[in-house]
Amino acid sequence: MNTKQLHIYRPGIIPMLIIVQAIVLVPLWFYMPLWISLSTIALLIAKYLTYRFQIKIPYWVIVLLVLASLAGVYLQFRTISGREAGIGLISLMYAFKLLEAKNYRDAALILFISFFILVTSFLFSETIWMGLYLMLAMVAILMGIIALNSLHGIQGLKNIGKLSGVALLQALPIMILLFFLFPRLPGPLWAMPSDSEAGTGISDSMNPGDIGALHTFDDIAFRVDFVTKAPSNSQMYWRGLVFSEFDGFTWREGERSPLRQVEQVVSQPEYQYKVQLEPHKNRWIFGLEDVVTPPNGVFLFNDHTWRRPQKVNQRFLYQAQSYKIDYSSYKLSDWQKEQNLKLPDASNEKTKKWAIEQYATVQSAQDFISLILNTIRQQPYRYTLTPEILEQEIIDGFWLGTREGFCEHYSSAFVFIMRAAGIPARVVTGYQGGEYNPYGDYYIVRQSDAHAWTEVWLEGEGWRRVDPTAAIHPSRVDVSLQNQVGARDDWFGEFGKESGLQLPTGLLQKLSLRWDALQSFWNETLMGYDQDAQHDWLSKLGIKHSQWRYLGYALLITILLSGLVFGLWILSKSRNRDTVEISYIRLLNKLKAQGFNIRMNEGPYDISSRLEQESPELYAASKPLFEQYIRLRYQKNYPSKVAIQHFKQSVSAFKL
Amino acid sequence: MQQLLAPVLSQLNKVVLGKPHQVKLSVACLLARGHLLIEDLPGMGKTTLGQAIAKVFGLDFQRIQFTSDILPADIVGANIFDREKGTFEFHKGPVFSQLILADEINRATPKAQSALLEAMEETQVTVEGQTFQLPEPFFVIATQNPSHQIGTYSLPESQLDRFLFKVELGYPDPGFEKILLKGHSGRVRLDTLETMLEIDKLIEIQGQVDKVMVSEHLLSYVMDLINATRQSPDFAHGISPRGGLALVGAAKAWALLENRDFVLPEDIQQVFGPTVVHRLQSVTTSSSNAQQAVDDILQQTPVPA
Repeated sequence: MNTKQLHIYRPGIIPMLIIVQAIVLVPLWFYMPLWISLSTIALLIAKYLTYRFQIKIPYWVIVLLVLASLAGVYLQFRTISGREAGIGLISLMYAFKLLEAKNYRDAALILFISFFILVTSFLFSETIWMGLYLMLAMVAILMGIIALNSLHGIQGLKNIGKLSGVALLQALPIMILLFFLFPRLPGPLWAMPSDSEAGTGISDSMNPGDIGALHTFDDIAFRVDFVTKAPSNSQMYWRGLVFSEFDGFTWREGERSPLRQVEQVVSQPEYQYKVQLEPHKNRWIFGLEDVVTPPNGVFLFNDHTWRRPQKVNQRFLYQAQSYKIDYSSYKLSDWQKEQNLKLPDASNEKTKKWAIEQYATVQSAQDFISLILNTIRQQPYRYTLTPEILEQEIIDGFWLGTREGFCEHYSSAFVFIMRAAGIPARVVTGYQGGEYNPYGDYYIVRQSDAHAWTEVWLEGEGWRRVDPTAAIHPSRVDVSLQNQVGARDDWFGEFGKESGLQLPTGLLQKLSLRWDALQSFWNETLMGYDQDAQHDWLSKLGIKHSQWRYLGYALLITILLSGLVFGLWILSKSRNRDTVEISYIRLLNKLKAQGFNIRMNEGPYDISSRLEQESPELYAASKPLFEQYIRLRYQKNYPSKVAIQHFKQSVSAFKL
Repeated sequence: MQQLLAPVLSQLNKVVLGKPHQVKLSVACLLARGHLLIEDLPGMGKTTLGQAIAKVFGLDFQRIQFTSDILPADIVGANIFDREKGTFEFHKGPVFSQLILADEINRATPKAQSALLEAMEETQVTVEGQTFQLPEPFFVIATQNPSHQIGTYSLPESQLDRFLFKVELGYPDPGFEKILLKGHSGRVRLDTLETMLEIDKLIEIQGQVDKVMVSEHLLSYVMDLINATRQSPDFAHGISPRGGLALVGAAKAWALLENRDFVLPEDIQQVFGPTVVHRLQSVTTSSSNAQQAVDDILQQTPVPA
C-alpha cells in the first residue's frame, strides 16, 4: 500500500505530532538550558497556532530562526558537539522540523527521530521512573506512526493504542536478547566530554561549615551490599579523603603517592562488598578502612584512599575487599611524620599552648588521646549543625570559646591538638554508618551520613581511628543522625526544623526501603550491565571469553541478514513491474510534481476526469497518455510491444 | 448503446427524483440479469422505482405483498380442480411475470421466502412434478425493511446471495424533497412514463453485457479487493467465488451503461459496495459498520498501475 500518498492535514495528525513531540521533549526540558526548553515549547505552540489558524510562515523566517538558534547553542556551550550542546541542538532542530512539516515524509521523519531523541533523556537520568516514562513514550510514538499510516488518522485511538502496545510487546523478546547479547563497549557508550557542573557530596577541602551543609541532604551517596558479613553500624567508616595539610583555616589533602604494591595479605578478606556509587563528579571513591584491593582501574594511595583516573560522572559499580592488616612493624617515614605534624606558624597559639600543657600531665600518647576525649565528654561541648561562625583563630575560638560544632570542628581541633603535642595525626572524611535495607539486604549510605573523623599515629600500632565527635555522646555513631532527631531534641532540635526532614515512620519507611531495593536492583542489574557483567554472564552460560566476540558478530550478522531477507521480500512484491507499470507510475509522479494530488485508489479514468476539472492544461497534455494506458491495460489482454514502447516514449516526452 | 440507454435513465430519473446512482444501479442489475434488493424504510419510493422500471422497459409487472401468513402457493400458483373438465389445472401465481416487486420480503416466513428465492435461482417453478418455465427476462425487485424492525425474518446469507445488488434509497436531498412535496405523487408521474425499450432489445443488450471485455489486469484488482474482504478483521468471512463472479458481471453491465465495451477499475468501484455489503457478515451487528468497512477496503486497496 502506498501510504506516501496520505497527506498529513487529515484531522488529528498535526495535533498528534505536537503531542508526541511534547511527550518526547518533556524530560529534556528539565535538563536543557532554560532558553532551549522555552524555545522548543514556543515552537510547539507556534506549530499549533499555524495549524489552527492556517497561517503560513515564510520560509526565510524559519531559516533565520534556525540560524539564530544554532548561534545560540554555540554561544551557550562554545561548541555544537558534545552531550549537552548536541542534545540542545537536536531538540531545537526537531521542533523546527515539525514547524515546517508539510507532507508524509516529514511526519514520518519526525516520528522516527523521536525514538532517538527520547533515548537522550537517559543520558541525564537513569532512574526507574525515567525507564517507565520512556516505555510509555515509546507507545505514544508507535501510536503516532500507526495513526500517520492509517487512513482514518487518529480515529479509533483505543485500537491504535492496543496495536502499539502489542507491537512493543512483540519487540520485547528482541530487545531482551539484544540487551544481554549485544557486545558492550568498554566504558560508557556516551563517553562525551562532560560539563563542569559542581558535584554533590564531600569536597576536596574542609572548612568548618562545609560538611554541615551536607547533613541536610537526604540524597543517596552510595549503596553497599556485603557478600558475607557486615561490620556493625558503628564500625562502618567509609573512607573518602585524607586531609593532612592545615593552614589555620582550611584542611587540604597533603602530598601522597600511589601504592604500587599492595601490602602483603595474610588472612582471608575481612569484608567483601559491592558498591553502587552515585555520580558525584569527583575522582575519589569510598571504601571501608583497612582497604587493600581496589577495584579495577582504581589507584590506591599510601594514605589508603582510592582514586579513579576519571571522574565519577555516571553511576559506578565496584567490588572491593577489606582485610585486617597488622601495622605494628610499620614505621612512618620522616617526611610522612613531618607532614602529619605540621602546623601553621602563629596560628591558634592558645590551643597549641593548652595542648602542650595537657600533654605534660600524661604518660603516653594513648593517655593523651583519652584525656582529650574525656575533656570533650565531660566539658560542655555541644553538637550542633549551626554553630557560631568563627572567622579567625577557628581552633581557639571553638576549643576554648564556643565549644559547639559538628564533626569538622571536633576532628580538626583534635588533630590540631595532637599535632601540637607532637603526635602525628590527620583528618579523614567520608561517610559513617548506613541504613540497612532488609528487602534488598544492603546498606544505604546517604549524604546526611557524611562525616569527618581522625587518625592518630601510635608507634607500634599504626594509624588508629579516633572519632572525637563520638565522644560527645556515645550513641552518636550507633544510630544514624536522622533517627536521633526525635529522641534528642535538645541536641538536634535546630537541625530537624531547618532541613525540613519528615521522619519516615512505619509503613512509609518500609515502602521507601522496598522502593530503594527495587532501585538498587535496577541500577545494578539493568543499568550496570556493562562489558564485565556481560562477560560474567556469558561465561556462566558456558561461552568462553574468547568466543563472546564471535557471538556478538553472529548476532549482528543474523539481524542484518534477516533485515536483508525481509527487505528483499518486501521488494520482491513490487519487483516484477512491467514497462507499462513503470511508465504509468512515472506519469503519475510527473503529475504529482505539478502539485496534483493522486489517491492510491483512483483509477486512470477518474484521475483524468478530475484533471479535466482541476487543471485543464494538465488534462489536455495527459489525456492521450491516459487513453493509451487504458487501451494497454483494460481493452486488450496482450498489447503489442510497439504500443507499449509508444506509451513509454510518450510518458518520457510528457512535460509541462 | 448510449442512445438506447440514456433516455431510459433520464425517464426513470424523472419519476425517482434525486437518486440517479440508485436508478443506474437498478438498470445495471437488470442488464446483468441479476435481482435487486432494496432495503429501506417504508415510504422511500421503493415501489415507485420498481413500477417505473417495469413501465420503461415494457415488462409485465406483478407485485407480491409479503405478509407473515403468505404461503408458497400464493407466490408460485397451485393446482386447482376444474369442475367442467374434471381435472386439476395449474393456476399460475404472480411469480409468472417479467418483473416482480416482492414487497417487504422479510415479513414473510422462511418457507414463503424460499419459494420465491428458488424461482429466482432456477428461473423455473416445479409444482407437484410439473415444471414451468418462468418468462424471460425475469427480474425480481425485493424490498425489505431494516432488520431491526419488528416482525421481520431476516433472509439467510445463502439467500441474500441470490440478489446481485442491495441498494438503499435513503431520504431525498432537501431540494428534491421540496419538489416532491410540491408536485404530484410518484404514481401520477408514473402514468406519464412511456416504454423506451422493447423487450427483445433488452434481451439483446443483456447479451452484449456478456461480451464486455474484462482484462487480466482488471481481474488482479478484483482479486485484490476480494482478498481484502477475506483478510479484513471486520468480517466473519470474505466474498465467495460466486460473489466475485457477481462483482465482475455487475461491473460489465455498469461499463456498458458507461458506453464502454471494457471494464475499468472505476466500474468495479461503483458496483463493489452494492454487490458485496449484503454478502458479508459483519463481526459487529450494525450494517453501517459493514458499509464503512467496505468503503475502507475500497479506499485502501490501490488500483494496480
